[in-house]
Amino acid sequence: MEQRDTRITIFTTFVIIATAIVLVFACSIMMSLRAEVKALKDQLATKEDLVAVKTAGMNLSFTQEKCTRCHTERRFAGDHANGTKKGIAQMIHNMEAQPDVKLSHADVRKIHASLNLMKCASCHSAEEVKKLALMTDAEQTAVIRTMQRTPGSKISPDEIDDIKASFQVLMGF
Amino acid sequence: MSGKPKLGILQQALGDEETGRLNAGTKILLALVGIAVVIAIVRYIVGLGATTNLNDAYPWGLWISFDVLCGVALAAGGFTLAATVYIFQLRKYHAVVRPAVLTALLGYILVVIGLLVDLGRYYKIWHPMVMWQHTSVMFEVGWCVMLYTTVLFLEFAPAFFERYGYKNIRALIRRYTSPFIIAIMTLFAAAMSHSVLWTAIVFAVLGFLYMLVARGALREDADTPLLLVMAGVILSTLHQSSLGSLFLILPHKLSALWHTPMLPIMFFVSAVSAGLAMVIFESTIGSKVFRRPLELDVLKGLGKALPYVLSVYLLLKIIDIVARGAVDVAFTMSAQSILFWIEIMVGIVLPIALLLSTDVSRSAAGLFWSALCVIVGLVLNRLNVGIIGIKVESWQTYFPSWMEFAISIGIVSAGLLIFTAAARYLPVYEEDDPEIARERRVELAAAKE
Amino acid sequence: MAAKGILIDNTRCIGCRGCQVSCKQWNKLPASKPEFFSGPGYQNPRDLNADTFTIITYKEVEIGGRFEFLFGRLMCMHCNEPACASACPVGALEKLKEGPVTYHASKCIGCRYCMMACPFQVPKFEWSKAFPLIRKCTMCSDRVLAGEIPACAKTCPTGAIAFGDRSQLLHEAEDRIRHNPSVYHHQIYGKDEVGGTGVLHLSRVSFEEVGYKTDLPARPLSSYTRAAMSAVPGVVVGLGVVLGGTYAIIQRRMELAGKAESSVEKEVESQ
Repeated sequence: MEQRDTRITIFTTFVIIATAIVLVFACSIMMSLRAEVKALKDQLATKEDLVAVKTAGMNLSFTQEKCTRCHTERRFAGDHANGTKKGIAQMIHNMEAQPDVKLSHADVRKIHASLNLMKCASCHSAEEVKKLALMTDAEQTAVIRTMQRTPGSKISPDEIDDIKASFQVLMGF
Repeated sequence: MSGKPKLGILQQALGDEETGRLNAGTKILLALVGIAVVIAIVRYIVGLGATTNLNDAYPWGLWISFDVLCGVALAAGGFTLAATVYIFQLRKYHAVVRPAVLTALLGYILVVIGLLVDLGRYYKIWHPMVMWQHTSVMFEVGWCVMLYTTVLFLEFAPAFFERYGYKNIRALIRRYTSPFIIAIMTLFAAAMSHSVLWTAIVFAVLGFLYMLVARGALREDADTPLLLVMAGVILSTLHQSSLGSLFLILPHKLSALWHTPMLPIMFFVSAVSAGLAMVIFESTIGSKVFRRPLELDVLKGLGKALPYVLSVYLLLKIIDIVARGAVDVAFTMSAQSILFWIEIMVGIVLPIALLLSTDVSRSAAGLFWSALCVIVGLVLNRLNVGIIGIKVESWQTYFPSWMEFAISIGIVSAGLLIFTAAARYLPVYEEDDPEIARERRVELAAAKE
Repeated sequence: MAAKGILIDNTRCIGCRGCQVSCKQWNKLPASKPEFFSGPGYQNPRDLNADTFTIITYKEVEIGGRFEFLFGRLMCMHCNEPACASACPVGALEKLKEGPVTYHASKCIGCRYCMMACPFQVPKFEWSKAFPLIRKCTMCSDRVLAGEIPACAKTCPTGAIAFGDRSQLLHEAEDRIRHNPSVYHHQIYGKDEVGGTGVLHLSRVSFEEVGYKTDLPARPLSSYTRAAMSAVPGVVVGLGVVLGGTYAIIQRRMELAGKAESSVEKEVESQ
């Protein structure tokens, strides 16, 4: 009988201590969980936040950095927004030949792309154009095609890929 | 001249007292030691890669975790009991001091031997003595272990002199032990602090105590001077805790279940509990093997102290894990968390539950099994910190090779054999009060003349 | 010579592994047999080892809807406050003021603590030798101290590996990010990790994606042991005082108890 009593006492003590430990741990987990829930933000991220993150530092008007030293914005908004690819290339080439103009290859590509995207500027703001950043390649093509089909877009079908490529150049791809 | 056959050294030391026959257990231990020696030679010839499963992800394995970490922790009985008897003057425990010191001495010597096998460039093991890098925890561990082994030698030496005489050497040692201790502790302080101020303070404090003893203001046992025991406690406290500090620099490599700024304190407290448990363990086994009466009174006293130490340890562990936010890890399903729970339940909670019951804490068997749980828990803890808790990439793995096991087992076997031989030749266990034994020897000497 | 560093820019790296080859050439290291392993990447060998001080790792990432290879570089980070140097008990690893973290083979005892301590898992061991050494990238310290640049930096064809004063390289890295904000992930790996490292990395995408360790603390690992180590002399003195004091007190008490006994005996005798 005595031995059984001893065994029961030992077993009980063991269980009590073990339970106490698990209890302390469980409380600790519960409290840290509550703290985490409390710290959840009330404001969730919006689509604009996502776009802002993905296009951080993207400059749609790259031309502003390179061209407005000598020209006003109106100068190219008017003259070159509807220019042909060849025309634009020739014009940039002419500018490069000027003294004091330092344009690297990457710069030229970006200027090209910038001027190209001015086609979008006739209807859309920069923020709206930047939303393209959230889309996959195929989705971008689809959206641009839809815009092209809209009457008054002044975009020809073979310029779709060009516009998409321009956007990606400015994204830094 | 009796018809006793000529006995070889092994039979004399380990065999039956009459016939010199070695029993089966001793033969097995000798074989294990022999195998280990051969494997050690192989290791020295072909290197660690061919003999162990250690790799770049697990540079430390069984030899460090078991031989060094466990070996040092389980030898903690030496300093705990020396402090209990010689500083706190609880003379009731006198009977178990010497076996504990011998266990500790053998333990530390075998740790050094284990290190000599594990170190890649073992022949440079003396480098930390002259190349000082005092920010390194391993530097401190090396110095402490080296100095403490010396202290243990000096603490155990009286047993040798009691048996074999050599009075003049004994007198020499008695005279110069304390100054020697002051010298090495001052050197140790210099190496650790790199500061003249601290070195001077240590020298002053120890020198002051020495002066008090020399003047007679403090009395001390001639064979175990106060400074010797103090040095033992100080060095032990330092290196038991710094074996834990070794792992402080590994927040990236050691699981959150074990990595904590409190590692040194955890290692120290668990070492104290393991020391007490080891004394119970080896007293019980010693009484069976050497056919001696068991000092149950002494063991019961230790059994009373053990639950307190274990409770402190448990409390520290729980508070530490909760405070560090590592509780989540304890509830994941992984080998590490399972072994963590086993370590706590079997190694701490179970012995506490056992020892709180009066029936268990008053019986030899109960004390033995509780002590065994503590020892298993300690070994598991050191293995967890050294191997199991180590974080690696999913494709990196380690399990000790049979040769690693062989060397570790051989080292433990060697310890057991040497202890047995020492108990036969030296007064490790006191028959009765040493005063009476001394008087008897004087009487015998007088009767012979 | 100011503290030197290396800047590695994976937007310029083409994965030619010229750096791996020139490192082996300069340090006279044997080639490693190709190791095919299951898992991402085609690097060979899979990880640094005693004969390989640097590796180019491959990671395929998705950028703008297309898949691209990005190349990470595994090598010693030559930390400003190296954990390995702090851990080594004999000071075999040393951070030079010129930048490289060097290894003194003559001091090494082969304890392998540096391997455990390094947060980047860089030092490797010669397991196959009977007299093994620790092996790792030396930032070509022999070349650097002679005024030359490391072999990898010399070989790199695209300028992905830049060598110079660490402070200047830091400015350069910040400039690159500022001028091309959409090209670079906005982080200089090695600027603050474990107290700052001599080798800095720039990346196209987050470093976690490329396979770098990103959960490292910002404080140098040696700071974790500083408190414990500086407490040592204090413990010696403190324990010395406490133990000596306890001993004295207990002895005094025993003496007083003994005197009380003998005075009681004397009284009994005299009666």
